Amino acid sequence: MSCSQRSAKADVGGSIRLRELALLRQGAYRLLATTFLYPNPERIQTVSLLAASLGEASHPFAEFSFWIQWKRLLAALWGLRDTDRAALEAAYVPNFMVSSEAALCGAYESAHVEKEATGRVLAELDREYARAGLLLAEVCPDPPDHIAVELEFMSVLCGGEAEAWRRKAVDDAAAQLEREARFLGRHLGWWLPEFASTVARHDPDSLYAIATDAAWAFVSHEKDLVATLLTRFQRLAAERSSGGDR
Amino acid sequence: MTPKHGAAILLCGELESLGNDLDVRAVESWLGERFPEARVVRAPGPCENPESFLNSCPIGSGRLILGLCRSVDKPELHRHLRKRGRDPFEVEVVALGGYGPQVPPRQEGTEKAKALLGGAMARSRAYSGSHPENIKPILSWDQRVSRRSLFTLPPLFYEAVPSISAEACAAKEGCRVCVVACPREAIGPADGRGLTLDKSLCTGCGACVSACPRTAIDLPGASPSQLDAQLAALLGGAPAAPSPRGIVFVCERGVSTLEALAQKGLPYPAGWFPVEVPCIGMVTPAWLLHSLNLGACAVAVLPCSREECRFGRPDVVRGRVDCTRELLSMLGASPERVRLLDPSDAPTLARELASLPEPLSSHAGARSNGASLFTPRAATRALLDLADAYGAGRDRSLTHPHSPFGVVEVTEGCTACGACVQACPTGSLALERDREGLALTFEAGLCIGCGECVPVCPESVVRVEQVTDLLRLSRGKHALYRDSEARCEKCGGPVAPRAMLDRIGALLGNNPAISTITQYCLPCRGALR
Repeated sequence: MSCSQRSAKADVGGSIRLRELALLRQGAYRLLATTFLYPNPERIQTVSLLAASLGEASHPFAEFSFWIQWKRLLAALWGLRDTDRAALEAAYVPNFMVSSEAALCGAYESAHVEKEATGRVLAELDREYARAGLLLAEVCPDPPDHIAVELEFMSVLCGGEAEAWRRKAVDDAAAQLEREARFLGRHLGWWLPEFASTVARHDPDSLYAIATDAAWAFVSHEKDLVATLLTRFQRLAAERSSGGDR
Repeated sequence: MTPKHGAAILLCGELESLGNDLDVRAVESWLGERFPEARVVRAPGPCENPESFLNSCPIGSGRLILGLCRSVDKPELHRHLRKRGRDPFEVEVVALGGYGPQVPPRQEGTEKAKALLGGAMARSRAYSGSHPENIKPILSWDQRVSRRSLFTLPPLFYEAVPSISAEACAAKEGCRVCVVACPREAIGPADGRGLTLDKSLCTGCGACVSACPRTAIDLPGASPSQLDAQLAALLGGAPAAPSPRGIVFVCERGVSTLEALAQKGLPYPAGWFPVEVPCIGMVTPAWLLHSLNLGACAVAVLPCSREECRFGRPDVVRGRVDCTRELLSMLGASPERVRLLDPSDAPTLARELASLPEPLSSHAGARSNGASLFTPRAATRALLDLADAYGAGRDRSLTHPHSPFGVVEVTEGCTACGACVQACPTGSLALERDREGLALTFEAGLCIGCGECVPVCPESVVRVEQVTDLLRLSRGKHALYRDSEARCEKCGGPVAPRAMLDRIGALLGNNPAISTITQYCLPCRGALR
């Protein structure tokens, strides 16, 4: 069945504004980034509140394919209290801590490439962040390829995209989408599946297994969605330049 | 996503009013006995309004089988399920009204419903989960781009696409079977990571899934083990009636064609059992043979209309069916046991389905085991079993471009270097040592005729033909080439096959290194330095 025949029964879309969607995606990336930071009382409260606001079935995300994994994550985060901190720390430290050589699951992109490629990855990330006008804060304890930093960067890019949509600057929005596609393709979207599988293998019952599963589903969807939107804009641009502007 | 345990079977409360005399109580009671782990619930409304039904019904979190009056719009059902946090691929829908017998005796309709639900349960039980990579979002392109639509997310759909298991994939050894099978060139090499699937090009036809000799490619909802389990349940499971049974492999986009027969009051025998696949491009001659060997008295293939086809290669579909028919003729069986149906006209379709041949009395039907449907050995076994059942001699062979089997020949000049062995994705070629020396062996029963061994041969002496040769298939492993091995003058270990050393000698001419190479094995050569 072609898409045109199915348009009356779309799974999603048709009414969500791209600006609203970019803001929602920004929030989702931020929630994930915070979840993968070391669990302190402030962060636990933040993710719990964010999860509560996203946890409605009427939320636009409920229409997307990653909702299955997100629903589980939001349910797990929603009920988090400061009293859960010890359990979270106990799961976080052995799995992700940078200081530990014996970390079970590398929460860093460079843990998923050949040793010789580590420098290249870090340099590339620095360049990507600089191109967006960002510099990793000196107080940030995590390296530029930590999952939380990469997720936060995607959140910033989505924020930029939302701003472009607000100004109705289609070319700027398309340029931002291109940055997102490049970052997802070359970095986050490339190593996250392997990371998620590792966490699921080592610590299948922890919150972090649920979080990586949700992050994988979301980022995989993002890769496809951003690429598809970009193709759409490229086609529109081609139509415009060939005089077919409507 | 890993499936959960437990199951619910929901039957539409309107089933009894369909007019095909289905005894729903009897079906309910059989399901309860057969699947004690499942809750069987009859409830009104799933066909009319799946969303409110799913919202109000206590469906739990395990497997879900929906026995409905007719098929429902799958993308819409999947959307509702996702919204409820359910994995849509874990849910099986059986259109009991559309697939049920139209003018049967009451008993046959009820028995068919049991068998269909049992098949769906088997398919659901065999579901092993999915990955986010198995979902492809598709934006609708047909919208006229107005100023408003430019700033709005266009209508979005989801489709299932395959995923490749890097561990099981033979791409590392050079296998490109799925790359060749893909009609959209969606599979290509990834940087040092085997093969990668370009979702933007993939249509989810599943041709790669059935082509892969290692079952390394999975398509959620239509995985090798799921289809195998469903076929085994439909053909080997209880209840006994209706009999004889035939299998219709039907494209999920062509399901409405089959159901239209019911709506138009056109009858067809109750013995036809539909097996839904994402696309007919998945169905291979091996599947058709396997179904016949499991006890189907006939197998039919029902594609969607050509404009909608994901595979887009009607010539290949026809070629596969023709090949299977010719194979049956070769065995002395009626080719009419395998049919390619025409979806364009309901009366013609009904005529094509009107008859079901009697099963062969001497053939009891094999038993399925695991994902055998997709393995070369299963196809061999199916063909040889059928040959025995029809009393066909082993002297018969058929050359056909869509033959599921191949035959490898080695002409003069082989050096037993093993490059072909390395490239063979099924293990039909092997290098084996015995008392006489080294043998390059070939097992026709494992060969799919992919030809991966041909381009890698440095001497260009390997040939592959798409031949189904009963004698070779039944012969098992045999040597294509034998050679003695030179032994190391120092330790007595193997150096290399003589022919290879001769070839190296011819290439190196008077090079002084030649004597070291031919006299000593690799470790001893290293020690000489």
